[in-house]
Amino acid sequence: MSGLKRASGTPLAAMLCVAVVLMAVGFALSPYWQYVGAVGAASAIFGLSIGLVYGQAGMLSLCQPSIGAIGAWSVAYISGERGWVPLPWSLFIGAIIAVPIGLAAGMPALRLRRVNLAIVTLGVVIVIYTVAQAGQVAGSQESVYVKAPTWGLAGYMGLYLLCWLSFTVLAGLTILLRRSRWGLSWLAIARSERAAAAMGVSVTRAKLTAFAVAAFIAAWAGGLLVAGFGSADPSNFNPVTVLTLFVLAVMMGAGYWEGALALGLFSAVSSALLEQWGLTPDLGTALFAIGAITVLGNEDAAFSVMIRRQLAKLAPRRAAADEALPLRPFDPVAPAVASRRPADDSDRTPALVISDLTVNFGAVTALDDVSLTVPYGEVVGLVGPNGAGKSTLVDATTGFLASYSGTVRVDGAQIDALPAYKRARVVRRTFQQDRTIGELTAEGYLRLSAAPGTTTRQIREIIEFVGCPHSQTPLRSLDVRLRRLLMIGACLTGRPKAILIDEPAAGLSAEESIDLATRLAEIPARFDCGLLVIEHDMELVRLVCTSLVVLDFGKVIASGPTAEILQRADVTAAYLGDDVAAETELQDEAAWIAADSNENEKAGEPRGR
Amino acid sequence: MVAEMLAGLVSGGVYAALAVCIVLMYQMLGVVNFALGAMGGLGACMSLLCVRWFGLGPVPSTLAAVACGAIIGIVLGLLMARYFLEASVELRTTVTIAITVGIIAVGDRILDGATYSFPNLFAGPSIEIFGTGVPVGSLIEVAAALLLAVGVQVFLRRTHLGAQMRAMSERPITAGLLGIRVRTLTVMVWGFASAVATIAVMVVLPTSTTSFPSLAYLVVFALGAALLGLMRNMVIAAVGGVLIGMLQSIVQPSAIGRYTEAVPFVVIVLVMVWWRRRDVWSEAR
Repeated sequence: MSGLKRASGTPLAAMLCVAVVLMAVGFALSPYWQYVGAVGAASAIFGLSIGLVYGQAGMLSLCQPSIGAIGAWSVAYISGERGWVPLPWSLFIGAIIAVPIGLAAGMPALRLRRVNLAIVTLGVVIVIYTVAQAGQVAGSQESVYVKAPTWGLAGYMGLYLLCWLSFTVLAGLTILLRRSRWGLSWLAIARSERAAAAMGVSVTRAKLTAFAVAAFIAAWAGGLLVAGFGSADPSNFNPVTVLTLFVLAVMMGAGYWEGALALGLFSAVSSALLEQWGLTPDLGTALFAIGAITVLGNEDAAFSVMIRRQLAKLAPRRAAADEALPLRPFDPVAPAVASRRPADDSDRTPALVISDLTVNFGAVTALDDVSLTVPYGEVVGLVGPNGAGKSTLVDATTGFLASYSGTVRVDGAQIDALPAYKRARVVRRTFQQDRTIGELTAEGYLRLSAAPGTTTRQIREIIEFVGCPHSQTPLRSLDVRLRRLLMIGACLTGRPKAILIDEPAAGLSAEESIDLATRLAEIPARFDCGLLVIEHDMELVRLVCTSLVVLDFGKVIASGPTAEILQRADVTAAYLGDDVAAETELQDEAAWIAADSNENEKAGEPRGR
Repeated sequence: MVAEMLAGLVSGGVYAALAVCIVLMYQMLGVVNFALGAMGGLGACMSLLCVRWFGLGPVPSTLAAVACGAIIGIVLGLLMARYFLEASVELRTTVTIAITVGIIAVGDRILDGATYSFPNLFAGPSIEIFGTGVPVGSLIEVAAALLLAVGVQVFLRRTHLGAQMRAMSERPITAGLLGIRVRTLTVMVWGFASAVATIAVMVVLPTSTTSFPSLAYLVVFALGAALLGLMRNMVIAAVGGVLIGMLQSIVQPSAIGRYTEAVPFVVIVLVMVWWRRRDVWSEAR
């Protein structure tokens, strides 16, 4: 945990410093500017909520500020109409009341994505605005007036402090959440929902927690607006205002707290200045639009991203020490010998047993009655030409297919009824594509994937085991090879019984793939699991796998000890076609290597052989 | 009931026409144009300026407005073709949200809260259907919207230019290498959609409140209709648009009349989630 604390400590301290300065500045401001500043803080908090759902969890949802209306109405009712609870406390109650509404607004996001979600959430904006305008909710009648706390301070200083204290608390919350399991899971679903589920993250929970937390934050801001304006003015939640906030959030990069802060200050100060100069606020809105389009044309131009990049240049390179470490060649405890097999494991229940697995995609039978077993302590190779059904088998086993027939048992327990993220507790997989999360460090990424109770020390050991020298560097700056290794490392931190690794050597040079082979061969004994490796690189298969299963057109055409299988003519034929195999009569190695490089050329991945 | 349904034809036809343009732009250019209503609204405002500045009559000012609408579309199309040709769908869509906000600011300035009278296209004769008088104009309008849907669909499927446009939407770069003039086509589609949107907004202008944002919000229901067509089928989108207009018209006089704007969205969300219930994962594999 110490690593985590350090990682979130810097932004938290920076945010607190800025907040203290802002609050101190308030004492020097005229009441007019105190009021402007207070409204700015409320906008900044709306920015935090948009940044959380759009910036962090990657969901194109437009309705976050509208959820703030729930907070506004609650505060207007509790503190104004009924007068049950005075203002600062009713903010909290309003925020809690908004959480179920936020969850309801987030439900469509479980099935709708991207632009579809944008349209549906715009619908939510319209619905809430319609309700606000209908005048049936608390605070829309002029008779209700909510008084902001003054705390004995002159002008609007009480309101100013309340708003900026709120921002400080909620920004602190988002900073802490960013490093928590929830925050990590938001980044994960933004990157890839399948990869997130494969790491044991419930996509449903990740999406709903994002919507719930964002609703809490937005409702707080909505309540603050009531404190500022005295009533729940429907125009605060009209679609133009909500969309303008969204546009500003994009422009400022509100996924980070400083982006949200800039959003609040910029929107409040610019409209106040325009008003003072006798210009229409429309002009400001038009300028925001142009600014946002500029940012979108060059994504790194978002304010917070620019700031972070500049600061990274100034900061002493902490990563430098990290990078100075040479890439450690892995020194296996035992040599990678395919025939190695722990003798005492022969009676043990196998790590993974797949029985009679059949998968149909419409009229196509992708897998036909496939059975295979992966014992503990062994690496089983799954080979076959492209389209043989290898990846489909991985999808079915790890719970990514809607339906299949047959059974999957891990360590004797049947897992067919479990969703993907629950299967990830016992069986893990990697993907052919790079699906690591670029924003995270190796340590953060492996922590997200880790089984409960995994210590930082264990995570670092695994990072070292896979041979990644950079535990604190963002993954986006690592090369593909290291990211692939870390995907495997992420599987290991989940301490599964079985791991399915899909084409780990694709795109690696011969040397790198031998290095990979030695590490793979070490995994079953070292982490007490069974390994199924899908690979076209026959050199690697020969080095690592104790036995092989050959798939062709969805059927198992051969299985048995590696050396034996590689000799069989029908296996060669499956790869090269009958004629070629008969004509050339090549010995297996040459044939396999030819097939292998053929595959890779087709895939457009040059090999350094 | 029937009377209300028929009364909903006017706005339904407008939603239908906008929905067809939204599907067209999504299919051809990979963008969900949130700004379409605002663009049409801005074009329609030009007719107002034509009357105010040049004293033009209804017909010339309408024609001028359509031309202005097309020009607005062409300018935005140039912007999109220049800077966002290779951007993702979400990014382009976010750009149109920014454009919407910007245009609303400008349009608000032009309308400036004042009320103006616009030529009413439905003042003409009406015919009796199920005992209810229906303006011929609204029937023509709905027919025109449906014809637009069918026409555009046939154009894309059957003509050479349509084939080029489909190629462009699949792979803009490859289409460009094949000699298809991607930028020109992009600008053309934006101009066409904007001109259609201008006509659509002018149809509702006399009957709606003259607040500019409310014109821009017309697109929201059109987006819902386009969603019902799964952003693919223009005919379903058009029919969906007409049905949404009718639904609003039915709800209006009822007990939940205050929430007329909200009702279609509850329906759309339910339908969409049901249709997409199998989309458990974000990516195909």
